Amino acid sequence: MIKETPGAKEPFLVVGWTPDAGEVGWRVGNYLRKHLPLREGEEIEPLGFFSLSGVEIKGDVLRFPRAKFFFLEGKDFILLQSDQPASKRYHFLSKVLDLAAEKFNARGVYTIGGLVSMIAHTDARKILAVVNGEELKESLAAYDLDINLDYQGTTSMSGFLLWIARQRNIPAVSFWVNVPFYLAEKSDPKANKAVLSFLNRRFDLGVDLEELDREIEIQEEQISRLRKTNQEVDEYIARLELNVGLTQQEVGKLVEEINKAMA
Amino acid sequence: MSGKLKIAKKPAVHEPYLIAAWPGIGNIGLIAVNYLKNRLTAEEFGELEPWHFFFPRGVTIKNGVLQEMEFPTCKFFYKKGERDLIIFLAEMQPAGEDEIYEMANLVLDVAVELGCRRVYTAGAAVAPIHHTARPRVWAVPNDKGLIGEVKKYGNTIVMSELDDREGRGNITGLNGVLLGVARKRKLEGICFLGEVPMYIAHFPGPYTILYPKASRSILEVFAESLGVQIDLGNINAFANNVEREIEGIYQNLPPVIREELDKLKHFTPVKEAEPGPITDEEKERIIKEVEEFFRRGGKHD
Repeated sequence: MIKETPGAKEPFLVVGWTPDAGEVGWRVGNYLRKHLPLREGEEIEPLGFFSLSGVEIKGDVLRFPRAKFFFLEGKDFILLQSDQPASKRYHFLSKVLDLAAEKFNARGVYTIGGLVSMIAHTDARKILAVVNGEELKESLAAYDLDINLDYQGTTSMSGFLLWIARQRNIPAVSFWVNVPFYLAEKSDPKANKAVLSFLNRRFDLGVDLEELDREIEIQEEQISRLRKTNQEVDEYIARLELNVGLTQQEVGKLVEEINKAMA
Repeated sequence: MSGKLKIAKKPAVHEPYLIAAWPGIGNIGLIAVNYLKNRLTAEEFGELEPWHFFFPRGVTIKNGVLQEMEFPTCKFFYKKGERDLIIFLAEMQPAGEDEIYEMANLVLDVAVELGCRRVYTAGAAVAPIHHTARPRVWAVPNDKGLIGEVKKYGNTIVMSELDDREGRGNITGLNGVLLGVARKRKLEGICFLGEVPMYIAHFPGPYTILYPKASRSILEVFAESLGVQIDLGNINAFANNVEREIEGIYQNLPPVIREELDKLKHFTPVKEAEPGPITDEEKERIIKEVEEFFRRGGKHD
């Protein structure tokens, strides 16, 4: 159902999925919606793409799968917040690109995602970028991004979207920010801030990040308190800070303790 | 034809038969049809664009640039002979019902376009047989008119010949749907299901093993039904190796389970036979005990 059409001339579509490590893409979208006058736009109907045999309850309320576009007056910026489709993914992603390219006249697509990493929460977050065409690298050279990844393995919804976009000659980039593995099931405001800082600069959004700074402070204090009372946790995080890896068992233990402390 | 089909060259075949296979229990059908394709040196002529049906299974990124996306393949092959053949091999079955139905129709679009009148699918039938027995082939035609023909094939039975089934059963996934759609489109169809011992079908990973003996039984029936010669040398060797592997696991089973399973040596679930020594309750218990054995890591108590 069409509710509103975008005003920008040649915008970029920025996509945030859920689920995601640290829910980075989704939370970045929420932050932008809270702090910018984003207007609700078109929605992709869920039928056929999401399982409707049952509807999730989260945080005491019913949560229906959705894929909704938001527009920002005067900026070349469109946001898509979407659940990851469970079926007919090619069809779904093609629909996203149909809307982006044909209806919204988008110049390109960015996706935002969290990358579960063996780092400490106190470490700086890096953003890694994967492009669907060599020529795109130049446009990103001015930003502090890691853009030289060599990788072979499983892929993601963003990877699939990049590939389909390439078949249609639509420039697309996926951005991946490090999320400490023990925050992957929670939230990582530091990762969110890294992404928002990049988007702020790239699209001249002017988003105030002060609220995120407070979130980071609160989370660091929480973990700091836990470190003081739990020697194991302190040792594991200290090792990560020294870039020393953990065993699988230690990883499990740290995740368990952090989840308990931050429940 | 649909844009989802990529046909490099239309083969000059005359009233070919289509044989289609994909992964299933023990990959019984896929192994048989892939073997047939290799032995007949069938030539690839087209494919179904897999991204419409499957999520990519891998990606290659070099220096920050997306290179290749790897998908399960869905390819068509053909072989000219006394009976021309089209072979369709898919590395995966679609997950959703809509996609299964669509894929079946697309495969049949190609078959019909090439003048095909008959379709075969192949898979596994989990049966209360012993691994030392020769697996039979359950044949399920999509038309009553074919029952007489399939009954003539060696080592083959139809559902009504199986104890307690009264000619009924169920074929899951594409094996059944393709034949159903074929019937709808007025094409003859037969599904061959090679028997797999029930306790082997329930071996959990990492003990999951293939059962090429059942694939070999299917190949024997294909040879008869298609009127082609198939050199079974390689699959015989494969089946013998797997048999030794199974025997090794079997001998490590707790004696009480092994004794129960040994009873299957005398059990043939065919109508009008003498009642077998294993009851349904015993079958269920054996499966549970085998599963429990493997859950314990393949060790005795």
